Amino acid sequence: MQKLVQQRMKMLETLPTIIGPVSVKISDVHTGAWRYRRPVIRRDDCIRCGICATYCPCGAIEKAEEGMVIDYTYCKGCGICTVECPKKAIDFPEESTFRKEGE
Amino acid sequence: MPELDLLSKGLTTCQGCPMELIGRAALDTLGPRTITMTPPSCSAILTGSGDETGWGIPSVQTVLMSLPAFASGVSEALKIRGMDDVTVMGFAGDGGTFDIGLQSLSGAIERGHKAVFICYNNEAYMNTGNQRSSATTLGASTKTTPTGKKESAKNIDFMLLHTPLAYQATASVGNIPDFKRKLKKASEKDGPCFIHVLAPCPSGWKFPTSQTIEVAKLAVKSGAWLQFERENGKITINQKPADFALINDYLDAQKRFGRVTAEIRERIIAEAKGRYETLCRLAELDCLV
Repeated sequence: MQKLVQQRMKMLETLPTIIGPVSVKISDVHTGAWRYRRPVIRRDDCIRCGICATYCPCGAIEKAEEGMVIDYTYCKGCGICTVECPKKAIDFPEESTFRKEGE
Repeated sequence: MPELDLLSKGLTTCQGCPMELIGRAALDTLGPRTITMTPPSCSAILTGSGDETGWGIPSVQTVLMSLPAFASGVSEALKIRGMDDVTVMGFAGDGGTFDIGLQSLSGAIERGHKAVFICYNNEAYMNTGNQRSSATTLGASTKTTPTGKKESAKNIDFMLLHTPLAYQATASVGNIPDFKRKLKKASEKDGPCFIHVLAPCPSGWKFPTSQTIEVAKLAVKSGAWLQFERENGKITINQKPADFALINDYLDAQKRFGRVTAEIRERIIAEAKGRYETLCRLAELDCLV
């Protein structure tokens, strides 16, 4: 029993110190439903500079091993990435074309 | 293990909102050891309502007129507890800084508390539906000035030049690396810091959501927005305006300036030139507070 307590205490020490109250309920609205045009990255033209990720207001673009990846659950489809991309490697087709493919 | 988001992705800000981008970039720089506070404004969306929040760090929803007073209290409490590495970040709009929060801000600066006050300037009360504020540019049409504002905007940067700020800077969402550098500098200071960021609002300024960053870049390029910082009593101009005639393009890009007359246009350009000239003269001095 004492060993378990000691173990737990050690675990606690590795956690970051709490500096104030934080809500455990994080707002999580799937804003991807707002989108009427979808940004699609052309893999061949993308140079992985990361400018789209810097300027994405939703933080929906991330750098992964295979290149830049857009999280369509949260992407609101504002189109900032398509304008800011220095290589213009992001297409911006209508969302309806994707729905038809799915059906 | 994936890194935790310090600001949730599923926030209900408008499409192309620069304020969310500023918040994200700020937390990217400051890291998890930050305490933030927001007044009732668009940024209250980040703090959330009820038991829900968007921040992954301690956050407070303050009243509109006293965000800097809250910040001074938190900052003093942290000092007593010996937590010197924690940054207190005030995140207010132009209403909470220029108009309603001004007396509280000047008090907090005078008392010299360690805190960073970020003002994202979208030039009107956007959260309540685009009413004029004292930051609204001359000639801009809002709900309360449908024929265009007749008065020129309050210049808060020049007002605060004579306050004992440890660090003061203006930035723009068009240049996020520059904003991050300034914020990093501010967080290392032991005193009040003020960063004024231009945040072009697509729904209030009436331009396509994809143009947010382009409009911010054009504002800096045309001289409608000045990029400078003040440190140790010396002003440094970060980016010189390319051509004041570009202000015409800047005004044409936004529908809120759809009704400005040639006369008002000239006045806007003349004021921008005057501001820049004043700043150039001030940059030659090194005797500011």
